[in-house]
Amino acid sequence: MIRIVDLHKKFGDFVALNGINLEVKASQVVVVVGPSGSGKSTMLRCVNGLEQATRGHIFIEGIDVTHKATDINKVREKVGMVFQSFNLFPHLTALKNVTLAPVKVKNMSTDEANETALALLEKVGLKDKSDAYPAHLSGGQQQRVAIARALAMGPDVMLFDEVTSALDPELVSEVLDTMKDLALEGMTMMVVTHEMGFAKEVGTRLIFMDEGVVVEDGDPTQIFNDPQHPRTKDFFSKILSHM
Amino acid sequence: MADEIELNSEGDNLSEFEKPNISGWAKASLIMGILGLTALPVIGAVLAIVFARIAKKKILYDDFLGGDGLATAGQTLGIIGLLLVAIAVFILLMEARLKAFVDDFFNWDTIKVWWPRVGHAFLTTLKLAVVSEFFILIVGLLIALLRISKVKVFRFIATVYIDVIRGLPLILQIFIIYFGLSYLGLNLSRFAAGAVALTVCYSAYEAEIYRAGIESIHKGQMEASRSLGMTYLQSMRYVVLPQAIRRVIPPLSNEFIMLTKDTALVAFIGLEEAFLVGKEGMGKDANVAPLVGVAIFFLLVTIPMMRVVQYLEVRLAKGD
Repeated sequence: MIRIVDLHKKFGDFVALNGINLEVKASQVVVVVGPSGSGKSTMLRCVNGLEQATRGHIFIEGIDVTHKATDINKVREKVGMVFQSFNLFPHLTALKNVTLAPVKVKNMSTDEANETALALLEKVGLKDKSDAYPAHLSGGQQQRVAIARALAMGPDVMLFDEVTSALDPELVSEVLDTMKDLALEGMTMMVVTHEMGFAKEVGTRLIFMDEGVVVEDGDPTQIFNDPQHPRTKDFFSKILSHM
Repeated sequence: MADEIELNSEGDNLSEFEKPNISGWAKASLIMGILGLTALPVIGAVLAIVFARIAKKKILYDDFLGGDGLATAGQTLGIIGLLLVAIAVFILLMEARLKAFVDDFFNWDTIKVWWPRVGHAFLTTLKLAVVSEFFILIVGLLIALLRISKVKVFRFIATVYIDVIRGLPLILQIFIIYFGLSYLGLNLSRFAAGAVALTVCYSAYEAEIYRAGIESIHKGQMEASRSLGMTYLQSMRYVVLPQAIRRVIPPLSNEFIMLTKDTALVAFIGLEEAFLVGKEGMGKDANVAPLVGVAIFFLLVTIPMMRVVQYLEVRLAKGD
């Protein structure tokens, strides 16, 4: 589904990604963890083209995202992304947030778009809030609308960039539950997160990144119980000490 | 009066007057105050104030009828008396000047003839402002989009345009466009040249306002909408601009008020708008009344507009 080949990314002199090689197969739930500055968000943003790779290639279903000639908009129809700061459109209702892209990009009729949108909002448990504006929704509710919005385009892959990091603790689980349901339905997911519980319970693969490279890559439970690399051990001891 | 004569002629009342009798000084002050407004102008007023001060110094406690109240009353009357004298003197001295002022600014014969003409010309002023504003809003936005474009050439053109236009006086731009373009074979009417010049000038300023509004929108909005597969233009049209424009309505409205006033400059290429007609009237009748009429017409439009802007600022701030 996704193939990352020798991905490098520099911001001026700062090296964010220093040679990433990764393959994500269909229906895998890849959880990416690591200290801040390790490049996890940058890697995710390279996958859907929000950042331009300095070197290397990314193939999504065979299409080279990094190639200049690729129609990036078409690629993005297949790759959904959910952000840490939700980024809902404040001037539109929850329903309109979800229907905007299908109508304008896929030329769906308004009725069809509304139908799909309401079904998705119901799926994330917010059908009764379809006419609410983002300002009237809690953080957890906004994030769930954001998930529905990304799903409305019918993507094959969903990217989650620290989607619970900006939420109050008691709102985190409603979002993680929604993501869990999605995973159980077979969606291919790349999740950058600090939620280790989610990684263990839902993740099918855990990737630990540090300083722009993949340090460890394997089964979540195995890595938690028996981290191989010293940097991995160090990271987990710091995180798990106050969990 | 009777009290006074009694006080001065009979011995025991005099000693009573000299004793620290609070109410005596206070009473005297009040009497002097009344005299100061009637029979004994300046002197009565001055004495009223003096007596009041003495009475107040001797007061040990507030006693409305006895001391403080009467003294205050006397002092107040004294002050009023002095003020009235001062105003009367001022009016007497200024009477000639006041008459000249009214005659120059509000000459009725001139007003009768020229204010209707100015009013009629003001319609041209309004027409010029509205027509220009229409184009300014559109051109300004286009230049703003060029200014933030990823294409270097677009950015360069926009920056040069904005810098040059904002660096030149509007009156100069009006002249260059009206006279200069005719040498190229393009003969614009005075109205058209004025509208073009105003559009060229104000769109440079408004482009910067639009740009500030667009850049104030969180980057995540564009990222989210692009991530959904929308193009840059679609994202601008449906996500960024709707939010940005709401934010810039107050500053753009202020610009419109300024534009309305700047239409007066087009008088200098001979367009028959309010200021030109007012100047003509002033020249012919040798007084300022026609221009006062121009001023009033402008204020009738600009001041309500300022209140509208205030209202919009409050309304739109609530929405955010």
